Parts: sequence; C-alpha cells; structure tokens
Amino acid sequence: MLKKMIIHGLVAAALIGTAAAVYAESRDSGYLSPNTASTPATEIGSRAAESNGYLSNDAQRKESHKSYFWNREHDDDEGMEHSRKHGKKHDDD
Amino acid sequence: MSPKHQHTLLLFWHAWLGGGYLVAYLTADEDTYAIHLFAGYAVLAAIVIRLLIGLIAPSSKLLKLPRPTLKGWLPGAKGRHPLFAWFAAALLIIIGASAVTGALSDSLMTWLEDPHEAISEASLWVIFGHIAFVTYMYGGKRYLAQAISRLYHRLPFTQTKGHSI
Repeated sequence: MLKKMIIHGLVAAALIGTAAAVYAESRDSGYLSPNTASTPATEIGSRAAESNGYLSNDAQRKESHKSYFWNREHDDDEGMEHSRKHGKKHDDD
Repeated sequence: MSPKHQHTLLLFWHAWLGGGYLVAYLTADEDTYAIHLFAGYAVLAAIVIRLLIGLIAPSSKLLKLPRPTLKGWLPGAKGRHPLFAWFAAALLIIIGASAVTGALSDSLMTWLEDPHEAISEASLWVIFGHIAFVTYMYGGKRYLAQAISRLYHRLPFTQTKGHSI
C-alpha cells in the first residue's frame, strides 16, 4: 500500500511537472513571441550588424539573454517609426 | 458514492497533493518560477477541493475532514491511532497556509514571500513526520519488533544452553 501510494505520488508529480513545464514554456514563448516573430534566430548576426552598434555581432548569443535589450531596442525603433509615420518628433532629435 | 469510490477519490487527491507539493518544492527557484507557480496553484486547488468535499460530505467516514481529539490518547481507547487525524489536520493547515501565502505573495502582498518560505520549510518537516509515522504504523512497527527480537536473542545473556532453533 505504501509503495503504491509513493508510485501514485510520483506519477502525479510527473504529470503536474509536465503540465507546469508546458505552462512555463507557453508563458515564455508568449512573452517572446512579438520579438521572435520580427527577429528570427537565424538572422541574429545580420540584425546585430544593422543595429548601429547597440549589440555585439555575437551570433551565439541566446534569445533569452538578450530579450530585455532587444525589447528596448525594438520599442525604440517602433517609437521612432510611429513618430515618423505620425509626424511627431522625439525630444532628443 | 460507494466507499470504494471514495477511497479511490481520496487516493487520487493524495497523489495530486503530494505530486504538486513535490514539484512546487523542487522548483522553488527563480529560474523555474513559472513551474513553481503552476504547481503551487495545483496544491492550492487540491486543498480547496478537499475542504469543499469535507464540507459537502461531512457524514462520510472517509471523506469527512479530520477531527483530531485528545480522547484517542486515553488508555483503553479503541480505533485508529490519534496521530493519524492530528497529522492530517496539521498537514492540511500548514500546506494550505503555504499555498495561500504563496498565491498572495505572487500577486497582492509581496511581503508574504518570507513567511511563505518559512511555512513551506516547516511544512516539509511535518510531511517527513507524516511519512515516518505512516511507514512505522504500516510495516515499520512489525519490522522493528522483529529486529529487536532478533537482536535480543543474539545477546549473550539471553542464550540458554542447548537452545536450538
């Protein structure tokens, strides 16, 4: 009976752990999806070259490590593009 | 619901709670925070469901909430060992408190993070106590008695001349 209960608990742990891992993965990918959609991983080197020196050309850099900076950069780019489209100027222009 | 189904339900719930707690405890790190969160909410859901079932079916012998009493400790008392109920109640309270403080510290009251950690650490020791007690009651007691008996018979002053097994 004790062995059975331990096995049940471990099976439940495996199931909950799997579900939790899937949840974590989907949460992460949801967080990164706007970024990864616009900047595929295969173009890291060329993107970095186009980024006016904000990031190094290290193509080995992982997406997760640069997400914060990439987000900031893209936010800035989007902001610039938005102001260009709508005729507004940045303060530092 | 038949007692057999109630027993199955209780086993399922026990596995859910134990599995959820194990995952939540092992992933209590910032790197695996999302997994910890998911498993923690699974534990909280298990506790809430157990309380609801206990309230809905208070007359069921298996599904009613544990009611620890001091009567069981009196000499000549019959029935299950009173520690079963005490451990069950203690576990429901401490794991429930751990899950609730964890959920609250995640959203509303971030200052509950330290109490959540302390309660979770304490709950681990209650769980160890529960496992040790159950193991002792359902097997350990017998093996311990056998081991003591074997040891006793091997002692030099307990051996008699001409004694053969």
